[in-house]
Amino acid sequence: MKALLDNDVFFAALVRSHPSHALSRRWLDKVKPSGWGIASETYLAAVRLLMNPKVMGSGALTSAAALTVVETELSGPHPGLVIVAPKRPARALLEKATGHRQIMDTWLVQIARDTGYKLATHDAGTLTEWPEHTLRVG
Amino acid sequence: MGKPDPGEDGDEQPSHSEWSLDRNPIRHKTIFMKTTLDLPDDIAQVLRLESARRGGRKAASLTSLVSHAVRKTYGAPAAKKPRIDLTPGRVVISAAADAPKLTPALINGALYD
Repeated sequence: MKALLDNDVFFAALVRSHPSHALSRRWLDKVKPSGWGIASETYLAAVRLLMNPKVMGSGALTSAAALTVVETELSGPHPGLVIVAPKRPARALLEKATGHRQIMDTWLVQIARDTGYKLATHDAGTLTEWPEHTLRVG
Repeated sequence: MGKPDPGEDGDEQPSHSEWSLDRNPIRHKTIFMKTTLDLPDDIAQVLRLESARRGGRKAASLTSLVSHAVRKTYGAPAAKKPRIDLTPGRVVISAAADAPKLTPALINGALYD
């Protein structure tokens, strides 16, 4: 089963100080041979976080460095794909969101569903709401 | 050079060999290092003029002028920069020493700021 990583899992795998780093890194290294990818939204979220001093302190990366980090992670012996949503947002899914923070998670669930992936996440709410389209990390 | 300006306590300006960072030791807290510097005349003159330019020794004491110059010249210790292992397919970033403790709330907040 191919894994589409959500924002938190992908960022956690990259940054050692993330509380879920060890778990995410180990899990990602293990699943890569089965196929994996990130949505373009996750790609950009990682770049934004890596450039943000509130997250990275004085070590916030330049855009060039952040892009290099993401592209290097996507390369290697088991390269990941950057998935662009093939369909427009589906009202039937998105209207199930009960708050603004769930919109992006639900959108990633839709992208996973529409592309034959499962969304890999730490988020208990997403896992409970969409068990058929999600994977628990760990 | 004419008569030296009176010091901030009204005392006469000392000769350069008496200029020291601890002229007013009562002001120093124990965390400060007390020391004595022999300053060349030209440096002492620069400090006097700069102090006067900034409004006198109450506004710009010798200690503050020297401290500022030392910080500017030698700088504060550099923050530890992040270390990035760019192995293809396996990137790991060790954050800078001053990076905040990451929490889901902080990350979510950063994504929405």
